[in-house]
Amino acid sequence: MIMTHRNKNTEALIKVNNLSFAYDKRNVLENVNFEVNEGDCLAIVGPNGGGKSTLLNILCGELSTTNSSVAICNNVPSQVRKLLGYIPQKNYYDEQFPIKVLQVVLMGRLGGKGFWYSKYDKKIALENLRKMQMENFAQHSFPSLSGGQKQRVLIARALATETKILVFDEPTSSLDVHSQNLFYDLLCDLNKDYTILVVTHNIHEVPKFAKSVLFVNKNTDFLSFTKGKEQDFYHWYQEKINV
Amino acid sequence: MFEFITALQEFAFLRYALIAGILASISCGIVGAFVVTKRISYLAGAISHFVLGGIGIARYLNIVHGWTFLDPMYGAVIFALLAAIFIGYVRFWHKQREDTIIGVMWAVGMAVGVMFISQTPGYNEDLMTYLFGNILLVTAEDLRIIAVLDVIIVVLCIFFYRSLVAICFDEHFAKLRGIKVRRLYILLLCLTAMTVVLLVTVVGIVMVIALLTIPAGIASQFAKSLGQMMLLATLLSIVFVTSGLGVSYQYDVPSGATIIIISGIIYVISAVFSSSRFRFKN
Repeated sequence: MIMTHRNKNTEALIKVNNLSFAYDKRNVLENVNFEVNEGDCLAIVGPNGGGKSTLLNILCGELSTTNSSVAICNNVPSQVRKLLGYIPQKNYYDEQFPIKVLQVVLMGRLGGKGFWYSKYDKKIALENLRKMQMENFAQHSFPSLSGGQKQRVLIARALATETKILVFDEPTSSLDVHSQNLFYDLLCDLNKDYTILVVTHNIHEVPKFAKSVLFVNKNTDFLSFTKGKEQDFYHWYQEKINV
Repeated sequence: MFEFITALQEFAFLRYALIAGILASISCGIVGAFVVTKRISYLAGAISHFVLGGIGIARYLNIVHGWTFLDPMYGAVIFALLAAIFIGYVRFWHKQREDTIIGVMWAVGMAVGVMFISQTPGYNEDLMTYLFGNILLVTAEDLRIIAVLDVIIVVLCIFFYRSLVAICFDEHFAKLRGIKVRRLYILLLCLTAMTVVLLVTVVGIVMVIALLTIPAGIASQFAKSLGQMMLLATLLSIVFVTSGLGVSYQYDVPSGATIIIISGIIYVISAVFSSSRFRFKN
């Protein structure tokens, strides 16, 4: 069992045990095992078609497995999908949709009762916009924001779900270098309060934020990241890719 | 225009036409905003053409078999809803390409409609009425059906507003928040289907997509939120229908075509204005 050893006393937030998954008898994931502890910042890397998106979809409860080998906070993912704060990649949402920033963040409160959002929902949404230093943009139009600002709003939306776990899907694919650096600083800040999973292709940036790395290519392999030993990581990744 | 206002006081059919146009504009503005932002205008096109099948069968049963209770508009509503449910079902459960479904429904609906209308005794002019609309033929009974459909559409939109906005903006996230995305998408298609039926009476099957998308398209260039977009689209739609009716009455030209031509001209002007404003800003 691969474990992200941050604190041995705390119970793992995510447990994946002997997970296998196939599309039309084509195995995408085989016997995958890992655990993610509270406070970790896990980068999920691997080649295209290696199973990263499938793994993410299983963790988000979008795909179900026949055996109950995946648990998030000791529950089946489909039952606790609301517990995950998901930040989508750019092409998952409509960038030009006419909507105000506050309304985007309020979507994190969806699923409650009533026709409209409550005062409490609005309070939570504004609090999280403030955390992302975007409270002055609450009444701005979402399409008028820059790529980096849009991402902060989407993070505020994920935080508004009152989650413990943030899941980023290719977070830097639409950002310039400056915005990417700001994003990694933000990620490290968020990691003080949240457990973070980041699916990324951007291998060279992984050492900037990750505490541990999960390589997914049908099976998984795991590396606990040590600051200052970036070269070890690159060698390890190269070996995995060559295999 | 003064002549039109005088005629409104004089002729009941003209008043019915104006009321029908305004009622249809309310649904058109609200549902049109969803259709444009969700980019499903071609699904609306397929539904509108499929509706001819329902109109044809209802009219055939009404005239040939004496089913007088079956107004062609009921046939339109039933076929529009069937089309909406079928498109949603095929998209989600059979994973078929949407453009293929659109093509099939578009043509099959028209074919069924033409077949039944040709077998129904009476004026073939009716086919032209359904295809290109004639709002001046709206009856008091039609007006009642239009009002009921309008109320249903507006109430459902208010009831499901935040979930509909969520699935139009980010379907994936909405699903994670526990929203029943498939059911809501089919509901959105059903709302579109009912709006299509309302608009068929105003501009006819062929031009429904234009009236459903042009006001919302213009509104989207200026609105900061979906609510603003809906309000602006509704007002624009009322302006287009009223001015189109007035011009068609004044110059004795087809009302549906006049409404669409006016809408099209305003759309081009707004697009030019909007792009020059964007260039100026940058």
